[in-house]
Amino acid sequence: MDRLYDLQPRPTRRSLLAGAGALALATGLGVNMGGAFAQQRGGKITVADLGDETPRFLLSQRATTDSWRYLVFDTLTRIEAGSTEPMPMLATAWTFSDDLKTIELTLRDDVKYHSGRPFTADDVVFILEQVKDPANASQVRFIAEAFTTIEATSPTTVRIVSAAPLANIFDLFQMTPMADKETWAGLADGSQVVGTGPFIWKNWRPGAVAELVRNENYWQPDLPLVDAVDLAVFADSTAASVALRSRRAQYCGLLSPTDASAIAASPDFDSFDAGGILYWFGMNVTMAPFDNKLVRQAIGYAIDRQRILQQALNNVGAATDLYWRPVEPGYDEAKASHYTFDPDKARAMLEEAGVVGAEVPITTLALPVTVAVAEIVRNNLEQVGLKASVVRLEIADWDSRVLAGQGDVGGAFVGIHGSADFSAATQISQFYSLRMGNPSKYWSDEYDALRQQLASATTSEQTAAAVGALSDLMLDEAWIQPIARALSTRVTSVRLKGMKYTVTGAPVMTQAYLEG
Amino acid sequence: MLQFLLRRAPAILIVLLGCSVIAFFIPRFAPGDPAIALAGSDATAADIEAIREQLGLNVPLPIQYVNWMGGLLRGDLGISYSTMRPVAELIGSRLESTVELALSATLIMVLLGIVLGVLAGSERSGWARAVLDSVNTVMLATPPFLTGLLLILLLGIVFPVLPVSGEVSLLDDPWLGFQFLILPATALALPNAAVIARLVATSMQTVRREEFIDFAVAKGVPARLIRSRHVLRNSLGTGVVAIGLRIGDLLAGTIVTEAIFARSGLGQLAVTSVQSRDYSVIQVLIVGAIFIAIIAQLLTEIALAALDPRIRLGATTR
Repeated sequence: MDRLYDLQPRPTRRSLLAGAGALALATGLGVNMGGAFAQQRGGKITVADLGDETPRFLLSQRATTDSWRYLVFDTLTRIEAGSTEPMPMLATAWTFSDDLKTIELTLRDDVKYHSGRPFTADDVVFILEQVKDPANASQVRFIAEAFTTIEATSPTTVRIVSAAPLANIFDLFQMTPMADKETWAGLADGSQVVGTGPFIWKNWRPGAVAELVRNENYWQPDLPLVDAVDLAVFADSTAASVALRSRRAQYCGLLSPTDASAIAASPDFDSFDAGGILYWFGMNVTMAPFDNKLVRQAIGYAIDRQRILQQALNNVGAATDLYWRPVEPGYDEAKASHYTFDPDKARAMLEEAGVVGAEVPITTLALPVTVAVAEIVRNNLEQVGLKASVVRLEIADWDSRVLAGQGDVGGAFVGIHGSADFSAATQISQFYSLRMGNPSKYWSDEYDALRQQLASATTSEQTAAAVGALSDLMLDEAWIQPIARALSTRVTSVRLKGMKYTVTGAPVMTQAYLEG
Repeated sequence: MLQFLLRRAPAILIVLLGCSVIAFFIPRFAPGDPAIALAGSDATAADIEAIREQLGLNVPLPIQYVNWMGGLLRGDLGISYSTMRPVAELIGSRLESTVELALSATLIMVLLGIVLGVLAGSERSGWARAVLDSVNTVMLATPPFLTGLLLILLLGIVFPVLPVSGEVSLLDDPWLGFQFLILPATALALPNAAVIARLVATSMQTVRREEFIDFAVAKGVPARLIRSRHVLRNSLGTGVVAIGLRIGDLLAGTIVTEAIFARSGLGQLAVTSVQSRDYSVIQVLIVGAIFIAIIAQLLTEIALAALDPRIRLGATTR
């Protein structure tokens, strides 16, 4: 049966690029173009976004900025998925002082904003100052707040001096798009979203669609390959799935695990698992029965992490007892499986603590996945003799309690953190479950000292030592228990090729093209 | 009619004023606020406070209310906290989508409801009545979201003959826009049409048992004329009242229908505004929805008066 409609423009076969890897080498861009492959130019990619774009929070990593930040903007450096090494982007070179408290950056001299104005060191200084502003809600503000000097030493060089070692400076660069300082105010209402990236922000209808078009003057020659990208907003995962299946959209990075696995199983789609999402179980150490360390450790043995991984997270990721990414210096595989599922041992420990039969409400965000995780934990806790129940909070309610301090989330809670692929030094300051004022109300001199040790580490050996000691402390005190590090499944139409992703799983479409 | 409208005006204004108070304060009693929603998942208390200050949320609520009402009287609906765009612009950009969907669904609802109602309310054989009753019951029992998903599965994926995701404005491309409207409007209209059909059918069966119908039959008036001039005309009043009432349900139903078919209408704007605690948009949408309900009620009364000369606009029972 023929369609009555066809909205998806066919890509034009205007040119064939070959030997793109050689091109990258020849231009010295440091951009991994892959091997020789045929690419079709033209066409439009439609992205199914769950949630409206928020240009005013460009400097904040969130689902509503991740789908387009690396399309409209460039960063100084970029860490791609599967790597820990920063790749040159707008910064071509960098040197650190011996104490790791000063960095000198060399910038590209051939980059222009979409407005036509050249990108210079002054723009870098301006944007790094913006990172310090709490109103911009950058998760790496704590790194920028330690900067004592940010200066443009020439139009193409920047010098940053910090009071603390800059061990995680590349996390900041990764999360800080270089916006145009002259049109910065236009980000507030999205009227001017000007970057140096491969696509130009052409038009935005809030809640409906953002239209991006090819940047003809992009600094990477002959890129991007497609003419346009539409970011269409969908209310939920089901509607986005329909858009993919009906060929309206070619990419979605935010499907629910159930929808993602169903679509990824189809031969019409490819999938890519990226970006760490950490699910964790926390306990308030000031509330009974969790003021007893033995009880908290017993919970560790009671939670069936493998079951959660398989049933709630579609087996995409890994069960873990540690917050850190596996490539982190000091990460220990044995510690990551410290709390093996052992309900008999858990029950014995709870009996020893005299808390069998205690009532344990488990609070969680009203997201399908976190509720599913919480329900399995509830079942686990009932197996070992606790009377558990699940309390769901709307996201705004949850955030008002854990972020703004308007109430608490009770004695036990299941939470979630994105950007679990950043360094331990960044996580320990960024994640609200770990920083001062955390919902577990946990803090100790030893914990504080180890955090300082991690933040001031200047070598991988020092980082490894701090991470190892922190792991031991967190496993022993057990106030916060990672459950699983899940991956988020990005789904693409089989027609869409050349997609790349950052370490946090954000899409990069500079080399993306539509086949057939 | 003008006198009728003038007599209703004070009551309407009082209702709208009362609604404005409710629309302003109730959303603010919910946990969270726009600053928390905007600050992101790992924001600090300092981040949230800075954003709250930036948005003017630290100003006392009564002053915020007075400022909002003052703006409304000047025709300024306010600025969205989430997008920093004028609320009027946001609503204006979504209005066409919802109006197209609501009008299409209303048209289908009225046509299908009356046709089915007349068919079921007329004298039929047993099996024909059973079929009509079954169809009506299925339509009545199937909510729009389920009808929508079934239509998407059948006509969008298994037999892809109609677009099932997104929209095209009727003003930009009437033919394509019409195709995009068929399935969501049908999904939205079916259960409401079933309600109207059942009421019209029941009313026709009741009227047919009235003495004046027996009299008309005795006079030898043809059955076709009895059905159209006497039975149908005297039965449609119920249908018109039902249509007026169902329009409210239909507007509420657009929220789910727009979500399923990925249409960017007012329903979706309402949902995202509630999720992000965008008070400035929510309060205008609530007052606007109540205003539409009042207008629909007035139109119903006017239509009833046109159908039945015994009803006078604005008349009160003694």
